[in-house]
Amino acid sequence: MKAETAKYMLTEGVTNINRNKLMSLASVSIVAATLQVFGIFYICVVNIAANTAVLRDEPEIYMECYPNADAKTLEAVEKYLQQEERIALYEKLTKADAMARLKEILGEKDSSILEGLDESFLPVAYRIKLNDPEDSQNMADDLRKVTGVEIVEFSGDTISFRIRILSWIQAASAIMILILMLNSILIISNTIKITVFARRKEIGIMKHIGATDWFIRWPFLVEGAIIGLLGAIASFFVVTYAYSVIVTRFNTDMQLISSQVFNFISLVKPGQIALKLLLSYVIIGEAIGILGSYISIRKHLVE
Amino acid sequence: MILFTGVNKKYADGTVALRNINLKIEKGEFVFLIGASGCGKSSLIKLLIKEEDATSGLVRVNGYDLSGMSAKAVPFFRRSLGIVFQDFRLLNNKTVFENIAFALRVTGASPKTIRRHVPMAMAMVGLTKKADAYPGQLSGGEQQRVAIARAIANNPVLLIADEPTGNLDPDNSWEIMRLLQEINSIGTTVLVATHERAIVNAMSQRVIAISDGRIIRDERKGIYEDEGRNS
Repeated sequence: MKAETAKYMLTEGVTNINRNKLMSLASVSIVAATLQVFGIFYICVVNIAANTAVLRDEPEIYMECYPNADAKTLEAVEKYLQQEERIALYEKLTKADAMARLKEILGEKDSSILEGLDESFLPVAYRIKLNDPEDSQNMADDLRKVTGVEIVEFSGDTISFRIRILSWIQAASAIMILILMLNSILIISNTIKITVFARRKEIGIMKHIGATDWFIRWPFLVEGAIIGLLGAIASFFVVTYAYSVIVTRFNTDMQLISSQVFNFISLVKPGQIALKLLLSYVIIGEAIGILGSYISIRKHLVE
Repeated sequence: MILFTGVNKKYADGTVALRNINLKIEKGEFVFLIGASGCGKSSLIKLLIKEEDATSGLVRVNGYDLSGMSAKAVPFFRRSLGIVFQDFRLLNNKTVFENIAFALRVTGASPKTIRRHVPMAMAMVGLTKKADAYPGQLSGGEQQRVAIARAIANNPVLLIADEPTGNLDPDNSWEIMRLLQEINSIGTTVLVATHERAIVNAMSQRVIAISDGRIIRDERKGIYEDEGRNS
């Protein structure tokens, strides 16, 4: 296509949108709404996946003894671990380690609250890796019975639960997005239909003076593409802004309550997903826009 | 230039519009196509510009075989024609200049070509001063002149005018006919479908009369007669 013709197609597309501001706005809004729902699902999936991956890298079993357990009990616990055949290796986290970690979490500013406290209130803990992850459940059960052991957690349950949730969310989002996309395509095709109708006289004239079908179609496709793009950009800003607000608050709160006991859940930073989100928005937005207008010009341009 | 061989046209609703039309128009001719409303004049023009297809028979225009033409080829065929309608069919939101330029733009003409050809076409129809006016600001005669300028901007070899003076007063009708004759004098074949008895009689050109879907008369330097006398 020549540069002049391309320029003409763009100008005509923009003119179409301008002539039909209200329907164009409605179309942009519906595309944006669709993409926002998509964005919410997308962010959920990314975050669950990221946090599940973190869990997988963690030791299979995390065990804490009572903080007040005496040396003899602790010795017996450690001996049990040494003798247990199902255990591949374990790492001991002493009370000093726990203190250091606590200080790290609190940071320079807040660590003053630990002044005057010694590490005696903190537990001795173990990170345990098994030879066969399949044994997680019964190993955990056995460990709970050992005297002096207070908490036994293993991530296997959490992982499979999260993977299940993940696949549910993915399936639900796929269906929701499909329905919303169909809606958007329908509304856009309606908008374009109105433009086609408004310009039917012009289209007739164009045909008589030898315009090719594509010459007639392009401005309408451009109109759809612009609507899709505007919807994509609008929802990108709305979703990333809302998400960055949530991330800031959530991660701050989580840092306050997290400890060794809890798996530290952190939300993926907006910067990490922004590019992918924008890219998928533009692709989906354009697909909706172009498909919507193509449907209506196919139907209404044929003599 | 134009060749109809055994052409029949029957519409989907059963109406028979044209019966066994055989017709030959040579390059450079000026031809009037006359006949009462509903006689098949419009159908003949629709076949000529490939708006409708013949039910049977052969239609050749400007070297194109319209019977077997693919939809893709139609726009390129139409660029070899100039078409003028009774109702002008101008774009009301475009100026005179833009309306004429549009016909060239559609064909992918360069801005340079547009800048050269549009003023030439406007000069030909005597509307150079109205370049920036919108169709709504022009008289009917002026609008039809713009439509003619648009039709000839591409330098077509054939100009088809379907009742070009149907919406005009006698003075303007004469003006339009004079213009069509001038276009014909520089080599363009001109076919005019009309009802204007006075003009047809005064201009003394080839006349093809149609009645009930048949060609009933084809005369060099013909006149407009009542179809009643011939049928």
